[in-house]
Amino acid sequence: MQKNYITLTVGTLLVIIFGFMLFTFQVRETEVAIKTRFGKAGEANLGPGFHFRLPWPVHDVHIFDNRIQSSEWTFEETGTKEGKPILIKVFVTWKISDALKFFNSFSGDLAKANVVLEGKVRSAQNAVIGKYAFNNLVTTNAKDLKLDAIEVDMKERVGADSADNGIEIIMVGIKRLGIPESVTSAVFERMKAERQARIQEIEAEGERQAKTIKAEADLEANKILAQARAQAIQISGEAEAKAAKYYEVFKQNPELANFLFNRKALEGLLKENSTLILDSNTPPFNLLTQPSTGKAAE
Amino acid sequence: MSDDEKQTEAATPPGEKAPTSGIEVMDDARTRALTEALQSSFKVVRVIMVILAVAFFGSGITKINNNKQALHLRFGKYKETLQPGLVWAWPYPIDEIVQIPVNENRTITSDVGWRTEDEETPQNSTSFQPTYDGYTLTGDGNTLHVKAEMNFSLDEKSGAAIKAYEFGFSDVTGFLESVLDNAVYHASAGRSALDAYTLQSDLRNAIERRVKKTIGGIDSDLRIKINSLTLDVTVPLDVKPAFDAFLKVQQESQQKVATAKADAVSAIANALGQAKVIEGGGQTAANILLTSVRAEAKAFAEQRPYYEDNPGLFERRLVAEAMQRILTNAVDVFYLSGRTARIWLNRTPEKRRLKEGGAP
Repeated sequence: MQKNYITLTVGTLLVIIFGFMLFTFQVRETEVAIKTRFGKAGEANLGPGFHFRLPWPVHDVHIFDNRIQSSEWTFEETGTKEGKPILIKVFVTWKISDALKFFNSFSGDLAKANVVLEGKVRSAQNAVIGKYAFNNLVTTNAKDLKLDAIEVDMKERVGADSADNGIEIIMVGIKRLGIPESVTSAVFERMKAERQARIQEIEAEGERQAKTIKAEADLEANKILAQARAQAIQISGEAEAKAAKYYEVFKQNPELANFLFNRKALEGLLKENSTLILDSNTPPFNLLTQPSTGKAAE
Repeated sequence: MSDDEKQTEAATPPGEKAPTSGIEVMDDARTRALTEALQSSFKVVRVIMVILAVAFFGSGITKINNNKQALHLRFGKYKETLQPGLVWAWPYPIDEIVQIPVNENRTITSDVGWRTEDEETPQNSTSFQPTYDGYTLTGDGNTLHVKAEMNFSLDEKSGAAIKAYEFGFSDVTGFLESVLDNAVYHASAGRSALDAYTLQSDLRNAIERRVKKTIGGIDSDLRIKINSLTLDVTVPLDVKPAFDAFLKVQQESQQKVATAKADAVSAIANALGQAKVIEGGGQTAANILLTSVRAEAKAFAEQRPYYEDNPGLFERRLVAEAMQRILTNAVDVFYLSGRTARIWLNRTPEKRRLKEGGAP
């Protein structure tokens, strides 16, 4: 009896597993699926998870990669608005937006989708680049640079063309820009000539700047010194003005004042390293010859 | 009695005569042997089933290392993000655990503007063959070699970044390389060759900004943290000598200007110093003047009564005091006494210097 249970359990498990294989299917997080009924479109855009189905030939399940795809093609020459040749390579990021349309357009084949997309991208690329001037592609003037607008324009064109194929264009980006070989040699020569011309400019400019800086500094220094001298004179003048009130005192006895000023001047004059030649009558030397002169004075 | 024996017994109809011939005995022995073999086989199958069941459930145990996080899928659908540790999930095909290194530093390189078709580094030539040489176009219509190497890690916070990184793109590395290429061409196209060559930090910042903007615009969940972005930038080798000569002159010129600036700063600093001295001197002189005049006025006021009392005596006294001070400080004083000139030696005698090698 126990053996029957085991057999039954194993058998049941096998039937369940087999049943699951026949009647269910999984769609991974990275995928999207469609379910056809006798080859005709049934449920589309089945998202990740567990789904029921009837065995083939009733239901058939097609699963596609729903992740963002990156495609890029060759480096191709096209022309700008003014007819200048330019080489461009773009990359496109896209994903399946409608699995049924994608299946109907490409039988679910990513490689086929890439081929069709290449044609659409080339067409958009030529049309869009032809609308813009060369200096919208490369320029040092930020206002003229239109790379972002060019990419958005290409994205919108490719997106509009691809919507019926169940493809959503997420981004079109420029991956490379170039110029024809014949132009590059001329560019090299121009780069050399520009540098050579700039050398002389830079030398002269450096010399001019250095001189200007020095002259400005000298001017500033002289100005500072002049201001300082003026300030010193002003301080001195203020001091003289303040001193004037003291000079009033000397008016009380001008003779004494005169005597004191002279004595001060004399002392100041003969303060250091003086050689004096005096008459012997000059006090105090008169004491050496006329000792009584001092008494007489008293 | 075993199940097999019971079955064998049950297989013989009641009342039927038991076989007695040799052949029947042999058949009976074979049947028993077969039964025993089947019995053993069932036991083996049972053990195997138990082992398989254990292995099946055991296979659901997964260890998630510290530097990783894991995405838990049930029937292929994202269920949750699992943190490091030991986890159990139903084995495939019910559940699936996808482990992703979160803290791992990843590196991508953009070298479409750098390398040639078959060489790692730019080659010297008088022109560029577009399908062979790698270069970028600069804003002034010139050409430049640029190589960018970006090191990044996932800026993980809620599990969304690793989900986007693992499940969002068919070739996430290729996509990021294209974004980096795009950023290199955008950044180059907006500046002159000289600026891109000499101000590489600006170029690097522009590339980094562009990468972040592009990725953010495509998938907001794909958050990456750029750890470093290193650039190799050089002008075409054919024009490099001209650029180097220019840069040398530019450097010298800048040096000259820098020296002039330093001299200017120094000159102004000196002038400011001198100005302070002049102003200080003026202030000091003013103070001295005021102090001196004040003192003189005071002295005058004090001396006036004495002067007015006896002007002659007062004058002679002050003259004598003044003479004393003057004569004390005078170096030489000559006075004439009759016809004889006399000298007053007031100086300190000079010391005789020792001559080299000689006696004092």
